[in-house]
Amino acid sequence: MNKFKEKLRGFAKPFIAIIIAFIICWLILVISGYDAPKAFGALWNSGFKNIKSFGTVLNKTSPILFTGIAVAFAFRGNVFNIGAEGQLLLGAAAATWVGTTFTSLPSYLLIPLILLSGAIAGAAFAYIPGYLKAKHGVSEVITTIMFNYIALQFIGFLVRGPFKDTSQMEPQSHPIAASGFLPYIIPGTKLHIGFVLGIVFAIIISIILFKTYFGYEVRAVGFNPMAAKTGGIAVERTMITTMLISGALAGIGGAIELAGTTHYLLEGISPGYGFTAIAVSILAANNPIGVIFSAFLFGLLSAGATSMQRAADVSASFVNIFQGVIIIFISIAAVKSVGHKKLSLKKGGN
Amino acid sequence: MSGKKVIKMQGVYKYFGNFCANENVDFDLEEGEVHGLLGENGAGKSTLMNVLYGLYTHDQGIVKINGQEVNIKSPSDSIKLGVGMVHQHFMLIPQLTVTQNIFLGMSEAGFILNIKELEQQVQEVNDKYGFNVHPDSVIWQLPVGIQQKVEILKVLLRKAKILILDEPTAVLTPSEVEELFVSVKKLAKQGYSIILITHKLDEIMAYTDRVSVLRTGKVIGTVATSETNIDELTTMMVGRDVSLERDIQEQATGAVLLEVKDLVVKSDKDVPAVKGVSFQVRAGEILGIAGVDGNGQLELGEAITGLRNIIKGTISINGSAEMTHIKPKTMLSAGLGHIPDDRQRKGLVLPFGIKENLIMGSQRSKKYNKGFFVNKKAINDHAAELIADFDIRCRGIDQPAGDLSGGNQQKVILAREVDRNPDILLAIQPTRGLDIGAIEFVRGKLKEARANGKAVLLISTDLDEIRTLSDRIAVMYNGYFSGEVSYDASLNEIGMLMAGVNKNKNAEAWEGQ
Repeated sequence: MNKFKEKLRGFAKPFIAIIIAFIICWLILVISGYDAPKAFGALWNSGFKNIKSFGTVLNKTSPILFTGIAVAFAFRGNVFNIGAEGQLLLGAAAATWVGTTFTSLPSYLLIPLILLSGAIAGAAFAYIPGYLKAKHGVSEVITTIMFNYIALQFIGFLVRGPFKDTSQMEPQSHPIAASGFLPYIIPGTKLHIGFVLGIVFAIIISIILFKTYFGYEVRAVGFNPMAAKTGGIAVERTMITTMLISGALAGIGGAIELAGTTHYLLEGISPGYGFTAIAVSILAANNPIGVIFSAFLFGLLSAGATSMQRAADVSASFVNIFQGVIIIFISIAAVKSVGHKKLSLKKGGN
Repeated sequence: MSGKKVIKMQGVYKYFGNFCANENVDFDLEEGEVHGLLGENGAGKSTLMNVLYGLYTHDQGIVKINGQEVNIKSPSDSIKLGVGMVHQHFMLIPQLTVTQNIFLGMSEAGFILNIKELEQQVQEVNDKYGFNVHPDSVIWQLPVGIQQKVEILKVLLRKAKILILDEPTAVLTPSEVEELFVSVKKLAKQGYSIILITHKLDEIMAYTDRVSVLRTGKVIGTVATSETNIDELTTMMVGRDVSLERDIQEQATGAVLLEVKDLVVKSDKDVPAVKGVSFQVRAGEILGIAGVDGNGQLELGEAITGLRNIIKGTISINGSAEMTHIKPKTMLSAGLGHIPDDRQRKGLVLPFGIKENLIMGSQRSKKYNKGFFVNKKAINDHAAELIADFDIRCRGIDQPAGDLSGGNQQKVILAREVDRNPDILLAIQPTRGLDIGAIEFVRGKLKEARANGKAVLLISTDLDEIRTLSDRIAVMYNGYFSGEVSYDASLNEIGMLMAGVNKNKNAEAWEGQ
């Protein structure tokens, strides 16, 4: 019973943060002279008007969901992977190569191969910062941020060079073979299986974290690497593995975006899914299951941004303010709970 | 002492939820006395003092300061009433100077600081009580003993006449303790009234005028220090007789279970900290390694557990080959149990529940796994069993280790290590900071391990501990063993070795290199 209550409380916090953020953003709109009901109405409609729009939101959610789980998993292991963006891009690039090379393969082989290639590329790209952190103490925050730029430039090179589709004006790759497209799951929508896969992966990662000895080791290293080392855990190896898994998840996110939505590689394939993931993970308190919900919220916001602009003339960037305010209130809640801890420690110890 | 009561607390109650931290407490403090507040961890000493200092508000009862009933809502109220508290954990800014720290947050210092004049003020108080603190020193460069005095200066310059010292000696060396109490006595003579919170009985006996003993939130009694003794106080504090006397029987030893040969280990500063040490520990004996802190004991312990690289020399455990490159896991699976020196940093993952901490190191064992998944039931049962066996006081198996008192945290580590049934047990400072009941418990477990034929290596700076537990005592000085003596060697003999007199051949050989 107590445990259930605790879990409920865990959900209440982000929920309250979102509601407060909502009220504040409503006020901002009103004060700035916009039609708040109309703006939020458009935002709501863009997600829930009909099954088609709902499908669009879920498709927007998929890459955020994968990068979100990737970041959450890494944060649990005290590895601050800020490089999900770059890992996602490399995953998309690898998927493009596989999808444009093995064109004669049937769907049931090509699709798994595309996802696998995304995972491998993402993991390989994450390995370097992971190795540098574990073995040489190089801050992964800095390396992963820098690696994002490397990935972005590399994609730019690919779509202008080796992958370039010369029949197109814009720099972009050839589309992948149609047998590599992710299947649509609801007729009349463009909803592909990416979202469902995302949920499956969230559950798997959650099980790994909380129900296996490997997850125990990841969390132990995350909380206190010194105690983990003293307890016989191979801290360096655990950190590298954590990074590999995180990178693989982000890479799959890239492959899914490519094979499910765009079908060809372009520079702007990610509007910052890997960065949004950090906020998504924080909102979910680094809980993979929670990431499903927070990713959906952020997916809804990014899908609704343009319709908000069309309907109420509110700049699409306004959703960034909304996201920012949510994060501020989540952070306040986090700080406050730390404060409570301190007090309760005080009363216990003498 | 004038006999004038500067503080009078009557029938004070303080609740945290349903938990009663202070129950019907009567307490008084006379002008010019040093009043000890004694009790085990969790007895309610700090809670009571935090009520007085305004960090907590009491739920019932009367608090009088200088005969006036007062209602203290915050520390700033209590400071105005002349009550100052020096906390166990220093609240100093390391980058600032002594004077800057002292006047931090004091509006009396004015908007534009006249540092020269402020330093003058600090110096005056300094001279008056013989504190010997340079007002312009930067905090991080000062030893902890001096930092402690800065904290006291802070309180004095805020014109407090009543001082609460919360476990002031927890981090001090013996000579710093001595110095601290010289100053405390001086303050008392000048009319300051001092409350000393501690669980160290020798401090109470040596430095206080009266002592109040708390147990489970209640005052058990207040007595004049000159009319009581350690045994009586212990019984009041713990609620039963406790003996820390040596009571181990001679017994035959068995095979060599741990052998260290010519070990050389570097410190964090990259200079040799252990300089060619060799020893053996046999089944059924306790080898105590004594020495003043910082003579290489810690590095030696870390090398044996695989936490620190070995530069030269070998370790052989449980009949294994002689190894130079070892990992913690190697030693763990070879049968080493390890009670680390720093329980919060090395021993426990504080946010983890007790049950998770209890499987650290065995998390991959078949016992706690069912195929791919952890065996939740086995882990829960294991935790419940050890909590009962080791009398770990907690709310349940999921309570985070960080919420436990120091003694209970140590019991969690002890339970985990003893339960793995290791052949060799390495205990480093196993009772540091624990209260007497917990000390008795921890030492009892080490004795039990010895009686069960384990090899125990005890590294401790507490000479009493070494002498009550060990069969043999090796003394470490400046990175080598300055000598090995039997447990019944005189204090004087051990003291000489600790000071590095009587260097042995090893040391000479090392220094010749």
